[in-house]
Amino acid sequence: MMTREIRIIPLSEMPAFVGALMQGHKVLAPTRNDDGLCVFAWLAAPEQADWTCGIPQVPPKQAFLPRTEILFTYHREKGRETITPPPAPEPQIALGLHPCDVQAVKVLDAVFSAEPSPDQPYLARRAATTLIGRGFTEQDPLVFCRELGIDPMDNRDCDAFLVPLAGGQAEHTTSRMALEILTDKGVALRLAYDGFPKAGVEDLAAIAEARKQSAARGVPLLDMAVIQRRLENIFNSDLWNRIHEPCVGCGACAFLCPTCHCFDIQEEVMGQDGARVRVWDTCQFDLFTRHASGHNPRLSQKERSRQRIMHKFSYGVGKFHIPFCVGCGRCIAVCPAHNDVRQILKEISDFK
Amino acid sequence: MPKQVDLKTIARDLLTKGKVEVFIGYQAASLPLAAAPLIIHGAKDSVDASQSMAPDAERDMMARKVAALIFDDRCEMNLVNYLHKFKDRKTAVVVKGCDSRSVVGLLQEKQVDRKNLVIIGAPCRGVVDRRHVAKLMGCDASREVDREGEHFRFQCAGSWKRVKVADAIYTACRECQVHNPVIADYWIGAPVPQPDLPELTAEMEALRKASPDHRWTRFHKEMSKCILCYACRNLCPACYCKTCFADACKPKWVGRTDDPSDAMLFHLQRLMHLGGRCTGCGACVRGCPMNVDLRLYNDHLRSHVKQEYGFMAGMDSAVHPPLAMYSMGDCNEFIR
Ligand code: SF4
Ligand code: SF4
Ligand code: SF4
Ligand code: SF4
Ligand code: SF4
Repeated sequence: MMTREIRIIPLSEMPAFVGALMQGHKVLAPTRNDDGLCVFAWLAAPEQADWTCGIPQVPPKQAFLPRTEILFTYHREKGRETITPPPAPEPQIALGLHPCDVQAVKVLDAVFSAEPSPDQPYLARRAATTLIGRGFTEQDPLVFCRELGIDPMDNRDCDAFLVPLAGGQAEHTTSRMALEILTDKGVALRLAYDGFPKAGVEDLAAIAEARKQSAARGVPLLDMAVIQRRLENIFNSDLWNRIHEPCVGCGACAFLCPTCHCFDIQEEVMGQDGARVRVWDTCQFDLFTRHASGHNPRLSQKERSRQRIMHKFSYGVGKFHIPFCVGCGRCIAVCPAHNDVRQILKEISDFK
Repeated sequence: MPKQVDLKTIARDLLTKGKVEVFIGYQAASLPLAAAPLIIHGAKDSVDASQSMAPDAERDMMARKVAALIFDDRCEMNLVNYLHKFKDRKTAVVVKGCDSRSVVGLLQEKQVDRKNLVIIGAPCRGVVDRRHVAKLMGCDASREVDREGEHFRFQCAGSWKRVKVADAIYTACRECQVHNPVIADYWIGAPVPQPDLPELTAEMEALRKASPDHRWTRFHKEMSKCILCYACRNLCPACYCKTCFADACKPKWVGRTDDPSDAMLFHLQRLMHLGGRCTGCGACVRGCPMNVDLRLYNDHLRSHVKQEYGFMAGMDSAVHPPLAMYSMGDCNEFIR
């Protein structure tokens, strides 16, 4: 992607930059809650954005797929209904996304723009969003995005991108961010970044060096094509008996997965007024596929665990040519049974 | 007191001699400071997980799994939940003190058959709370850890930090009233001393004395964190209803929006369903991905049940839980 321009923001000035972004935008960013847990959340104050967070436990998908989305509201009177669409989404910024979370947005884009029924509420929110990614230098043992071919310094698909740069006395700690402006939406943030200096020759060298170091950390790639082909052939295999066994079907993995996008549609009614809302749901639940007749095609956890893996690594790849997993490691971190999707992939690859 | 045995020896014995079809224990997990469940199928398992395996390969796999069994302070998960999965099969399960109360609970409620169970009791001093450790460290270092005698070592922002193992265990473990299993066929360790604890924890005393406003604010704050993923319910060994009220959809009883009243309603109803049944095992608290402090409310509930009915859930399988029984001597006329 053509970089339009690069500005240098000292870490101490980040709140000023974030504050400027908050003028006219809702801003979702990594924050630390009272328990010290890193989560993506809507900022109430610029200082809340936390630049020490690794991969926040709550993903940024809520920016596009809110936990509760009002599809429309209605009023019933004398047998007549008036339906009101929700207000158009406000301009918003998703700030500080790791490149794997950016890839997850691409997954959501693929799913929600698919013909024949592109999802209008999703697309409206997406269009109202400016994506500011953030490069990561630290290594987290749970994150395996590199094995999926994602480089944590890659700025693709972002409107702007922050490259953390070390410098000054503290050689390994981030002292400033290089803000790369990549698209028109990025340029539209000019008021927020105009006060910061343009990158000099040394800064450009530091950015190039950060990218070089990141690229040098290459790891063997998971062969997604092999995994997909294998999965196509083992739908009825005993392997799933083994894979599902430790899973208690709690659903935490899917709720916190940046690519999982399943939802339920519910009615919230009070008297004559109501709203049709969409809320998060997951294939890990019995109710998710239970038909009105009572029949359930995914009767036990075996079918549900299989669905999760199939959807991520077979159906997604087959239909949209993109795995529905970006290697963020959140599901590994939150699974109470410590089910590790990397081990499941290994078992599948090794299965004869 | 049950016979003390070696974990791997007893597992091998039970599985190879066909005394159980399934053995549920722990193995080291792929992340530091954590253990994962390990489910081992025996030679005589009627519904073997690997039907298509050659008998040799099957024996190999069983032997490998038995060799991987562990029990130590990483083993936080309450394995009793899995008993629902293997209901009609002869099953052995490793239980800590707290977990053993869940077994008693299921026996009381006739959800499992004692004849089908071999209970491997694990006296326990407490299990490590990784999130608490991360908080003590002031960084998300719980993913990189080392053990050094009675300390854990963490790499945190470029330097090493240390925390005492005893400070790293769950609050519930510090307040545990049953370090030693209340029911077991074998023990895999010597009993550990049980400290005398006050009737009510200091926190509970304070909560009870606090103003309604304060309690409301606190409750609101906890409930606002909840994303209604239901992981707490799905992890609770006592939550085994085929259709939970939260899943009732004809008609729908509770909403699932991000309005805190939905989370409140869900949790209050769930608490009501757990009166006299919650054993305080903490599975729900540990499984919550949002750190909702359900412990506070469970403790509150249990302390009331104890005060009103003199009953502690999951202690004695011969006693009926208060909300499941009826007495002609009841002090309330409407119930007689
Ligand atoms: S499946 Fe797990 S690792 Fe993959 S994107 Fe989802 S949460 Fe991240
Ligand atoms: S894995 Fe399950 S919850 Fe996630 S998107 Fe696929 S079907 Fe939905
Ligand atoms: S988080 Fe773990 S136990 Fe819960 S549904 Fe996912 S894989 Fe199963
Ligand atoms: S409510 Fe929580 S603490 Fe109580 S029995 Fe269930 S999982 Fe255990
Ligand atoms: S596990 Fe936590 S976030 Fe999920 S429903 Fe229970 S309390 Fe809420």
